[in-house]
Amino acid sequence: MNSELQPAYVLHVRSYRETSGLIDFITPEYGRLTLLAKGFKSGKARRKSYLQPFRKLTIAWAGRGELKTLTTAEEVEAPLVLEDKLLVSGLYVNELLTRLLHPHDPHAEIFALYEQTLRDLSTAASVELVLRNYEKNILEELGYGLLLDVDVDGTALDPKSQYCYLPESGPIKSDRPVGGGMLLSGETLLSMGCGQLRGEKELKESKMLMRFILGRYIGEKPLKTRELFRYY
Amino acid sequence: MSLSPLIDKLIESLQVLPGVGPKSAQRMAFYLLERNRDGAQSLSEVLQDAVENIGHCSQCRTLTEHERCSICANPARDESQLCIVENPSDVMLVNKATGYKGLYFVLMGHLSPLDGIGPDELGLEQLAQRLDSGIVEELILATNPTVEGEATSHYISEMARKRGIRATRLAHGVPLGGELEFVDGGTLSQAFSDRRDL
Ligand SMILES: [Zn+2]
Repeated sequence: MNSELQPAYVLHVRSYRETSGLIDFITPEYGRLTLLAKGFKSGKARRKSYLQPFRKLTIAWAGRGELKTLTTAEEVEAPLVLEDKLLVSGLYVNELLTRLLHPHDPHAEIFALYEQTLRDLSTAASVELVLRNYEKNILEELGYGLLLDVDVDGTALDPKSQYCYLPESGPIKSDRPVGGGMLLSGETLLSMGCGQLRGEKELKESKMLMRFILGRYIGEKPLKTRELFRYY
Repeated sequence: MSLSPLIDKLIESLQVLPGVGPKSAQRMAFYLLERNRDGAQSLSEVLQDAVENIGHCSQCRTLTEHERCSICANPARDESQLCIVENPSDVMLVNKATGYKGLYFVLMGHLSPLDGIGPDELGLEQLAQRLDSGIVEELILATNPTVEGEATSHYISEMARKRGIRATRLAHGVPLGGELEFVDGGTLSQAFSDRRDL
C-alpha cells in the first residue's frame, strides 16, 4: 500500500539499527504515526538534516505490515527558527502531543493547532502564553475541555472571587480547597478562557492549573521536558 | 545447511557488530578460520581484555582502561577549556581534526525527553561539579546539530551562564566541498544567519 502525500511534522527521531531511524510524525489525516526511515543516516540519503522536529514536510510511505516505510520526505517551507528556550518549549509541545494523542487517531484540528503553536512560538512575545493556550486547546480538541466562563452551576464567573477547580467538573466558588480541587482566582479563569493572560499571578495560576489538569490525562510518568526548564 | 554448531555460533556472534548481517558474518567467520587464525586469536584476546578492562574515565567519562584517560591525565592540556561532546568517538574526531588543546567531557548521549533522558539521566550533575570547581573558563559545546543536540547544548550553556562561565558552540553551516544546491534549507538558513564579516 502506498500512501498519498501528507503534510507532516517530525515529533521524535530514534535510531534504528546502524543507519536507519524510527520517526514519529504528526499528520492531519493519519494522526500520529511511526515510520521506518531506511538508511537515513548514511551519506547517500542525506535526509537526516531535515528529518528533524519543527520542519514542515510532505511525506509518503508504503508497506503492508504494522511498520510502514517512509518513501518520500521533502521540506516544503523554510524552517521555523526555534532556538534556546523556544526549542525547549517546542520539545515540550511535542512531548505533550505524544502523551495525549493516541497513535493513528486522525485529528486534522490537532494538526492545525500544533502547526499554529509552532508558528506562535517562533514569533510570540510570551512563550508562556503560547504554551498555556496550546494546553487548553489540545484538551478541548480531545474532548477534555475546561470550564472557564461559568462555574459548575452555570453561573458566570466573578473575576473578584476565588474558585476551586475540580478536574472532572469545573470551578466551584470557594475560598478553600474542596474535593481535591485547586484554588485560583476567577480572574485567572476568565483570562484563560479568552486566551489572554496578564501579569505574573495569572501566568502562575494558569500554569499550576494546567499542570494539575494535565496530570490526570498523561498518567503517572511526569513530563520529562519540564526538567529542561530548570534554569528559567 | 549447518556445518557445525560452533561455526553457527561464531556467525551469530559476529552479527552483534553494527552493519553486519548473516552473509557478511559468514564471510568473516570463514576468513578468520581459513586464512587468518593468528589474527583471529589476537582479536579474541584483545576483545576479551577490552571488555574486561575498559571502563569510563572518572573525569571526562570517555572510554579508557585507566582511572583517567590519556587526555585528562596529560598535564600539557589546558584545563581551562572544556569541550562537551556526545560520544567517545567525537573526542577522537575533534582531537584529530582540530588543534584543540583543552579537555573534554563526554555526555554519552544527549537530552532526549521523549526517551526519558533528562539532565539527571545524562549525569549532568557530574558536569555541574566540574564547573563548580572554578577551573573551567570556557565551555565549547560540540553536540550534534540535531534538535536534541541543540537542546542539550542550550541546557548546558545555561548551566555555564549561571556560573559566569563563557560558553561557545561550533559554527553551523555549509559543508566544505559542498554545493549550495545540495544543502538543505535549515542548514542554509543557519549558515546565512551565522554569516561573518570578511
Ligand atoms: Zn578523561
